[in-house]
Amino acid sequence: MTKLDTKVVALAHGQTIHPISGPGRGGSFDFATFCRRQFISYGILPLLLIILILTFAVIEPRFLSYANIMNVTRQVSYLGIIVVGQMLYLVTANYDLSNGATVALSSIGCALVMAATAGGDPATSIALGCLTALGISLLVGIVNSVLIAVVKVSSFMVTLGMASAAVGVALLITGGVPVYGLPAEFTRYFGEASIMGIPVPAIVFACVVAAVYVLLNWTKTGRHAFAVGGNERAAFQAGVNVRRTLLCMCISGSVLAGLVGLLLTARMSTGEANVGIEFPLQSIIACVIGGIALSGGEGRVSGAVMGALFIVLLSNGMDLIRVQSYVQDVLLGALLVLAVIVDKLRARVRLRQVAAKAA
Amino acid sequence: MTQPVAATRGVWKSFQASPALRDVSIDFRPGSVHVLFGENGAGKSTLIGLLSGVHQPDEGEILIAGEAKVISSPRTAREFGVSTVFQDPALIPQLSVGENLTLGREPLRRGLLQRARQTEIAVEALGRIGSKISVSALAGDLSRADQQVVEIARALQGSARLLILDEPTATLTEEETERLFEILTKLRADGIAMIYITHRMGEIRRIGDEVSVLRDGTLVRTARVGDVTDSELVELMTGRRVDAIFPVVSHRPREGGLDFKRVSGGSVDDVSFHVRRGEIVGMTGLVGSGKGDVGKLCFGLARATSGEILIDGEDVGASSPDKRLKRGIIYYPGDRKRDGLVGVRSARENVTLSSLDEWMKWGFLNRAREKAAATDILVKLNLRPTNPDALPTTFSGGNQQKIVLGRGFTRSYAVHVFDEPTAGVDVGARAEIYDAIMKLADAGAAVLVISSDLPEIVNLSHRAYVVAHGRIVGEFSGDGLNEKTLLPYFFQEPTRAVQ
Repeated sequence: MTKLDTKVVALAHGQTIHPISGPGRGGSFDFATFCRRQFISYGILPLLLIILILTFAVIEPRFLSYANIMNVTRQVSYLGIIVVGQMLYLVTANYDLSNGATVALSSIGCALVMAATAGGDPATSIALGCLTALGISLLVGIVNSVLIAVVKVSSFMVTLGMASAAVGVALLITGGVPVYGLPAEFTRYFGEASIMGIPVPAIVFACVVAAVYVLLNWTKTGRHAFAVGGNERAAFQAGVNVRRTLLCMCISGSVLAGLVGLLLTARMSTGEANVGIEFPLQSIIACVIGGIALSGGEGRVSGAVMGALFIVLLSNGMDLIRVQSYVQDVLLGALLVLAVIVDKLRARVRLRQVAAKAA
Repeated sequence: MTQPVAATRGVWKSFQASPALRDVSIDFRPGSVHVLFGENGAGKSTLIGLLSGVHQPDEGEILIAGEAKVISSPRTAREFGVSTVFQDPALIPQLSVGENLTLGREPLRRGLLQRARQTEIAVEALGRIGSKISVSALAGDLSRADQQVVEIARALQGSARLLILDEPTATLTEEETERLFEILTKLRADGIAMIYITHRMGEIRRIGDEVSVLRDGTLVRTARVGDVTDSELVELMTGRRVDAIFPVVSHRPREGGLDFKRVSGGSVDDVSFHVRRGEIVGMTGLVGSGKGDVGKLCFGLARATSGEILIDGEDVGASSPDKRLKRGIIYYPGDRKRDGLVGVRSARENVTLSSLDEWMKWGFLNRAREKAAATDILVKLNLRPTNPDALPTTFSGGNQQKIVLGRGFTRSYAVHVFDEPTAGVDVGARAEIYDAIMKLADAGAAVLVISSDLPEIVNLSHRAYVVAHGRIVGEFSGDGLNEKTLLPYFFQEPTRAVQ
């Protein structure tokens, strides 16, 4: 304990705890530094998650039951893919306010196609439906990204307009009535099935997380995306193909929303135009509390996953202890503001950290 | 002799342990234009920073009307009658001239704005310096020269007795400069003391009464303008180990490199020049001469409307920056913060940004090798502090430039185009940057250095061009490549049809 104290004092005097260059770092574990690092990377999220889980586990024993854990796993898979998609936009300093609408339109599209072809071979019907959902989201992504990257309209306006238009189209086609008559196999395999005890959506989610992790950290496009989000002018003048990078990221982000449209349709066995209304807000909150900067250029996939987990656990826990859903909305809104404040605080701590290192 | 309006007495100032000013004592007298002359990083900006309350001296004192005062903020400076017009525009473009002139001092009655009184104050302020700019015009619609006039009018409001002008003519045309000088002459007659920072020899004689030459933070000499010759001034300014700062590169031009054939585009008009491999070629001229656009044209950041740009003999056409990069040309922007660096990504990632292909295997990045390569480059360029994982914004100007420069060492490029490579870079880091540029040329690359810094152009390059009004007005090499020969060409009027 004394050891820890001396180190904290040393930092207060502007000295470095670790040697500046990597190797030769002391092997001893320094809790204060570890916490600061975590805070810089993820904000207060890990701490909040722990508090949340402990609190609900104490208040409501069902929270940690097998059934509830499975339930949470499913829910976090849907929201998680949406959040990762939102992250692809945010990394390049753009918003996607149309992810919910993309989910809805994909859901309607794939349900309509499946319902129309349901009489024939279910495999063909399902395949056509899946292609429709992904095709629709691809189209949405292309329109969004062309307007953002080529016409240079602010993503806020582009995706806000797209959100309204896409939901409008979905309601227009269906007249506001859910689409029924999907092949039973669709729901059985894509909505309810588990492989080795793991729900199918969770497996899809895991694949998405892995793919996006590789995309962002181990490919040229990912590096370019961070650079474009951090400083578009500088990236351009360093010879980065800004347009292609933006197209790639925004289209991928929207296709992920289409994927969720598909999975949710399977879960509900109906196509619905009002599914996913809460996704834009929830996904942005999840990203921000997961340490993904709204100003672009920063963020980790693990942060997005934790952010999604946090939101799902919070609403699940509150459902279990019967908190009114209106109250939950108030809490979520407050949480967004809190997340933005923490985001600012994090940037400040990081700067101070760097200043201390440079001294 | 009259009492100085303001004076420094033995002031010292250091930034991060490197001294920017050492024991400087200067008097600024009423009715006198005092020119501060010196190279980039000589301490001029630090000195005006002390007088305008941006910095505090580590040692020594600042006298206002003979009394030692602590100028703790720009606001205090104004209260003491010290007003500064900085190089960057400081007006709010969306507000009118009148609103800008009364900003923060709006005439109020019972909490409501008195618009008529506001206009009156603004007209009065402009009238004082003999300007006829409309007070209802939007500041953003004014030319840079007119904006500056408004800024001077604003600076002179209240009881200003010392007016500091930081390179006011840097972006002005000759005609606008003349108008500015008329205003300054009027202010001199009114007994205002002025500090005038410039890089231009010619202006010292045109407007200056006294001149102080700073070099490496030390005051070399203060004299009446009539008592020093131009060559003395150049010697005082550059008198330090010029040869120690600028490496000697043997001039061995080889085939290939960069060719401009009658290129027009942006503010550039029918420009032809070449940079051979193994050569360092300088390009200089006034701000706004079009020299910066030449760099942008090289890299496809501005579009050529006619003419040909060749790299190693091949026409690059109208290709985009990313395609030109692949062709083997790399561009280092002048404004590092805005155009050069991605502030939220590490120094290391900034270095490898342009050439990630070097470490790609089967479509995936070999991060270990990329990291090793970037670290190696930054260590060789002597990045201080040696922390490749830190964000670029945490480094000094010189070290930020080393990060941008590092891009050029990740693979072999045929052509390197530098725009103002040492703007805001201290002397020590400059020598290192010059050394790196020399190495590039020595390895057989063609290097184009676009710079307003005349000593840099003269001492670093094998050949140099002067640009004025979007055209090349002179080419210099060998003995003809010196500051005195080049300078007159800066002000050359465009001569049409030089066939």
